[in-house]
Amino acid sequence: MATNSPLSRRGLLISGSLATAGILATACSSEKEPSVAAASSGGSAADGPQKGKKVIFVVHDKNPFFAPVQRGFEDFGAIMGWQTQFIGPPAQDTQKTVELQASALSAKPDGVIFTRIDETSFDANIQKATSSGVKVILSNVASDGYEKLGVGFVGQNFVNAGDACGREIAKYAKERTGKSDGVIVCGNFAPGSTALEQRIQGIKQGIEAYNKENGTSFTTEVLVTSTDESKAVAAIDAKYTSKKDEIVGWAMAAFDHQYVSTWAKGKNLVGKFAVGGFDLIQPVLDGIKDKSIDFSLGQNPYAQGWIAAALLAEEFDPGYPARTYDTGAEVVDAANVDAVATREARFA
Amino acid sequence: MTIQQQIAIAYRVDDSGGSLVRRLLGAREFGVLAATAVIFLVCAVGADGFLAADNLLSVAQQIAILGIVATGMTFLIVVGEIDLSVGSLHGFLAVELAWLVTKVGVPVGVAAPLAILTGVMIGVINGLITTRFKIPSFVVTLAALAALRGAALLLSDGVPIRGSRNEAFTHLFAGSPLPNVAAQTLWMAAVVAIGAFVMARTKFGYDVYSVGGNPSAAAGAGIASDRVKVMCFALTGGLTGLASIILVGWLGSANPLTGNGFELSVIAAVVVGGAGLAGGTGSVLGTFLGAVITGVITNALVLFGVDGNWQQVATGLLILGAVMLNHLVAKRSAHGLNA
Repeated sequence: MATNSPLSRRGLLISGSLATAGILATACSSEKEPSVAAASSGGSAADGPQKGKKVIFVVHDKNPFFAPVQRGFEDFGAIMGWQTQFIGPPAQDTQKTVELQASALSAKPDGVIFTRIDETSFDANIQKATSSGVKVILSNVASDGYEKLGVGFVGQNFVNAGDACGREIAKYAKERTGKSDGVIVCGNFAPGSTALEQRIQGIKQGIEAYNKENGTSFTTEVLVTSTDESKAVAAIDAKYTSKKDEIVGWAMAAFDHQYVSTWAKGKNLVGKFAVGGFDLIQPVLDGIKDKSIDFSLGQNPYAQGWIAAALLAEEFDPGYPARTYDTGAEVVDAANVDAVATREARFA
Repeated sequence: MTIQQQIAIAYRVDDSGGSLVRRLLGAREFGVLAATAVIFLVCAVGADGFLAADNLLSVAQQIAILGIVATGMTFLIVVGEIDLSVGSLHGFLAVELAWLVTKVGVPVGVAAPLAILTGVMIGVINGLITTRFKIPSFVVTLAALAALRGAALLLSDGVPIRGSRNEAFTHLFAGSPLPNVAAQTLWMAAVVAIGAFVMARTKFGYDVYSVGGNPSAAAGAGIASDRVKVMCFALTGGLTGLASIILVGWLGSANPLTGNGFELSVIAAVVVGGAGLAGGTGSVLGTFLGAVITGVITNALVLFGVDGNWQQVATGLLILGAVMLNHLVAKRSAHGLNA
């Protein structure tokens, strides 16, 4: 038998070795992504018109969304010559955020930028800062009633942005499935987060508006997902198993549509429903490029760092009062994803 | 010699007798005290504004909730059990309190004791399941962790609930009864003082050490191990309820995500404070110092200007360093005593 001949065994060994060597050579080739020059100071003070000012940015959750926020903040700080610091708990934690804010104020900064994810918890620190002459700007999330604190806000209007998302997902659901009814699943990976709850509220509102304007009757169901990919995919899969073809779209309140993309590709379901959500992190942009995601709404996180810092600088000198800046809801889809991906690559 | 006296000698509960240095070296808290002193010294020298009175008082306020819950957890860990659900319970009880006050209309004077009572009852349930069904507390409270987080989300419908605006309530739990000293700090001081006394000077405290250190000997001595354990679970639940009341008074609202991962901070404070997860060793004073260490580290890293991502790394390494220093010093002092 051919398989018993020494030559064949040698041949097999040689060809096997060559194949292994080939695989190893491929595996050993570098996959390093080209580095993007960072403009930020990374927190160290440099020369600038406001050299020596100390500014601390405290966020409620250091998830990947905040990478461009931090970069925008540090870029502006470097221009001004500020000493910058960007801190926050590794996962959303109100109590820890309040404690970090208190420690930040103990460091005697000239200005602080805070996120305010509910209507009461952070007010004592904000009032303590303003009463002791520390300038305060809110960024990303302000929650209702922030105006009474006399501070400005740089970020998205979440209900309006949710409304835009609702209209987009309903439009894509009709295009993808040809149906005028069905369930649109609204994903939320952090129930309790004011921002995400308001976006969900806006998504439902937008879908209802689309139904009225276009004679459709899409309904919504909320699904709790996770920032943990395996947990999120499990939740998405379970939802699909229970609803199957009733589902015509997935509208996620944050960047968890990347997990819908991962799951849909694995299950060969791309194109069977519409997929949309928020934020412009790399996996989301990759999903738009490979058509497993239809759209994503940006909120210009870089501005939430850069503009927030700029408003603070204006307050330092010449002393303009705090004001509010809406960072909008930029729709990114197949038509503009390449340009946006190039822009966002510096934060990846 | 009574059984309590024998246990006290066996577990070195009684720290009386001998010279001051000998007693100090013999104290189980000496290792963590040394670690605290070193960290304090480094921060005092290197971090601008660390020693400012308002900063130190702020740190004391920040560790109040941790210190209160960790006091209960010390009893549990010393008795040889653990409660992984304290973070979720903290969130659930905070939401329950705010919900009762603002959604149901229960007066805060009634709702606050109800939160403590609920905490005690949940502790008793965890304890009974653990002791009656012989299921490890790690598993029982892991299940409670998930269930209570879900319950908090259900009760709040996923959104933060406004807390009580009753001035007396806010003043009692989050006011400043002494100049610049927060009420939270005083609550923690009271809980730690009472907890330390109970653990070191009462029959219940001796029973806790005995059951955790040598269950069969404790049973032989006629100590009702299961009852002692259930009481430790109830104590932890009740103190978590108190912590939740303080939190709602302090922040003015209750977020269903409150306490996410908090159980790890609590356990870390107890372990840094010298308690062994196998049971039988540890003290409330050591746990308090463990909480001080974690609070000081968090505060000082901000004052040092350390960036957020590095703070996580530094916190982990510093806690590990503190535990190692604690272990080393405790070993040397034990060796010195035996020499």
